Amino acid sequence: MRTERVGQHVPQRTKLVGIALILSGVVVLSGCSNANDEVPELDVAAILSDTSEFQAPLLEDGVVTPAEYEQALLAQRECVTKAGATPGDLYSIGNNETTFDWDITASSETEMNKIAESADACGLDYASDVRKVWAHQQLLSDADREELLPAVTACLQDAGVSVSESDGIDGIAEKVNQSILDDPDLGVKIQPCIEANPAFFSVPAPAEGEGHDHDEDE
Amino acid sequence: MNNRSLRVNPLFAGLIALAAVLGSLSISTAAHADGSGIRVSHCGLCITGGSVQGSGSRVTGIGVSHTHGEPIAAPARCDNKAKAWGTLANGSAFSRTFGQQQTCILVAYRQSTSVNLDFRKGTNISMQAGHDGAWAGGVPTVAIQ
Repeated sequence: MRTERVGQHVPQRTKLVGIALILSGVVVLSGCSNANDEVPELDVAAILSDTSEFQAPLLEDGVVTPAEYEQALLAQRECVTKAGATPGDLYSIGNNETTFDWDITASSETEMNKIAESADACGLDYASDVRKVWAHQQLLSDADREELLPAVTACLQDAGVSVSESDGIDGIAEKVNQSILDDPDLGVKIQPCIEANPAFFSVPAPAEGEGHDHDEDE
Repeated sequence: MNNRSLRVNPLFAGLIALAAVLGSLSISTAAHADGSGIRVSHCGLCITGGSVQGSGSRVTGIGVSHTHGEPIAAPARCDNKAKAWGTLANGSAFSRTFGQQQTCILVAYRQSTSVNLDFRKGTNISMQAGHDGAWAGGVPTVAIQ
């Protein structure tokens, strides 16, 4: 749920990301993190036991700081460059999350796929576990989510979705997804509500074994 | 095409809905680098949609969307990602991998990007979404004509 983008290489994005990282750092370091007792605990020790050599020291204390998060992303970006791809600038996609695109131009599709495979692997080597912990740290508490509920519900109602605050996040999400599948006009109107409230729709990762099968099919 | 006819067939309606979410009013692979495609993905109502904006052979924007309908609206999808690829006018193979979104979300995932490149006429731009460590089956395409 990112906001619409205006270009691939816009330097201002980096500044915005920097500001976002600083702000989120203030939140974390001040002890007012969203990750409180109401958010299910993430088993960082299990992640640490199976992470890459690069990410291990960043995860060692169980917390990812804004600086560590940025370090991981920049390392992944450098790796993507070494793989033969051309990465764009870092940019924010809301909910204190930062990312980047990358392009591959090659003489053949075979060569392109080879570079893509190497570039894809950079995530696992340098950032995926750090990003996982960071994303978890950004989760809203139930109380925080409750505060957003009236605004999100109102936005969706204005868009034509039959939701109420009593539906809760699961009920609202289900109705949103179904509405997008059912009615194209609603789909267009709902998207701004999602993009304006990425934190509201963000939830903890499903526990091991609770996710659905996802067959890879290139 | 009207809403009444869409509701008769939920799957068809969903496909059209995704095309609309992607910002295009057409679900056909249209000429002149401007159209959208839709594919059923890795479950009955898992849908990947792709849209291409442009003029002539010049592509200015690409969007990819992925959503799940019932019965697996939950649990959340994490590590959402998308990519698009095709053949440039000079014959080179080109791909763009969109920035990943690690956050787990319960609702439709959508990414769009600006491109501004000329693609070879008569070729396709293909798009794919993925999450939770894998690329999802179902690759919508849009023809450059």
